[in-house]
This record gives sequence, structure tokens and C-alpha cells, in this order.
Amino acid sequence: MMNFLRLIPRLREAGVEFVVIGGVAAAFHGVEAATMDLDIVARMSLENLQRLINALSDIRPKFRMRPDLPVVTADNHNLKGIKNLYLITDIGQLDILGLVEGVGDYDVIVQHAVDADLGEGIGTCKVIDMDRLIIAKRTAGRPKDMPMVYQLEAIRKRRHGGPPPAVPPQA
Amino acid sequence: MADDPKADRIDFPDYPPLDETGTVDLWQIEANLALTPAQRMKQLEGFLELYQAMRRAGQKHYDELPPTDPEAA
Repeated sequence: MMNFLRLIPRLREAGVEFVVIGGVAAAFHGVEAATMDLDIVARMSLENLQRLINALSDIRPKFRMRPDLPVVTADNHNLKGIKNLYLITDIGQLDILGLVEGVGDYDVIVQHAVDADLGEGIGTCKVIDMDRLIIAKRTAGRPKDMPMVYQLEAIRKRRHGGPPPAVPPQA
Repeated sequence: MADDPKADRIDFPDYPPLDETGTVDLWQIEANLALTPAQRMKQLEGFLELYQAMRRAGQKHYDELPPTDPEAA
């Protein structure tokens, strides 16, 4: 049965350019907090989004804000130029972001991303590095993100010592 | 018209609408409430598989794999 773990090799094999961010990335870095959605940053070119949507076809992706609309297919006109894509699927919610505030877009994040080895039969995927995840969550600054930020900073200090990464000033 | 790229284009906002506290994604709430308890449970089980694999991958990456519990073997 398809689930988010088994989706990872499918996205990789389809050539989708993406990096895992959000709560799942926080779990990789040691945070004990379960979230119920998968967040990724992706190259938001039409070609990449079409590869992504094709890879999701059997789990029926729909626009989360318009679940009344039909299943999204690769020829959907809304894919072109979209900044962020929020989907519901049969296996759960999938948020595809073009830009992570305070950090940058896919091209910036993938440069510093780390490889997560998800085991036999699944393989690897890229995960946002810890410092950029902390900066992203601090920049978002939502109360619900703060317990994750505190955990990440405590884990970072235990592993590496020193102060947390500096958050760049907002324009 | 399928050939007209603007024909069925919708102006989606860049970010989901939040509640008055600025923290709760209202689209997410709607999507969650639309699921049956059985669907939620199935999604949770699937998600936990990813979560566990990510935790293990992180432990390997940081060389923090716990020693094997002899009683669990």
C-alpha cells in the first residue's frame, strides 16, 4: 500500500527535484514531534511540477483549498507559475514550497542539504540541514513552531556546542 | 477550453489562510475534518513509517544509533 515513505523512491525515480523540510526533517535531526503532513521545497518549474504530479497520480492529488475540483493532472493550468502547492492526497497532505522564508529556494537549500538513508528498498532523499531548518522555523516565528526550534537548538548545542545559527534580518 | 491556458486558471493565494492567532492553517483543519476516523488512522500509520525511517536515518547520519538491546534480540 502506498504511503509517504514509499513515495520517496517514486519521486526520486521520476526525477523530481525536492528536499524534505518541516516536521519530517526535524525528526531526522532528532526532534520528537510527529506532524501529519510532508513538507518539501521543490524547483517550481512547470516540468518539475508535472513530474511530481505524474508521480502522485494514483493517490489522487487535489488542491487542498479547493477539494471540490477534480484530481490535479500534469496538464492543469494552475501549475504554471504557482509559488506554493498545497495538496491533499489519499495518503495525506503534501505541501510543496517554492521558497522557505529566511533561507531561500530549492537551489539554495539543496546545496546544503544532507542525504537521509531511509533503508533497504527506499534509498536516500535530501533533507534540509539543521541550521537552515532552525533559521526557517525561527523566521516563521509561529507559536506552534517554537517547541521544535527549542528542541533543535538544544540538540545542536549538545552535538556541536556554540550559539544557534544567526537568523538574517528580514527586509 | 482546454487549449486556453487562462481558461480554468484559479488565483490561489501563495499561503493558506490562518486563523486569528496566526498559527492554525484553516485549509488543513478543513482537510482533516473531512476524513473519517478510519482514514485518519490509516494516514497516521503510513506517516509513522516515514517518521521512523527518518529518525533512523538521522541516527545513522549523526552516528547516534543506540546500542542494540540484548533483551530485544
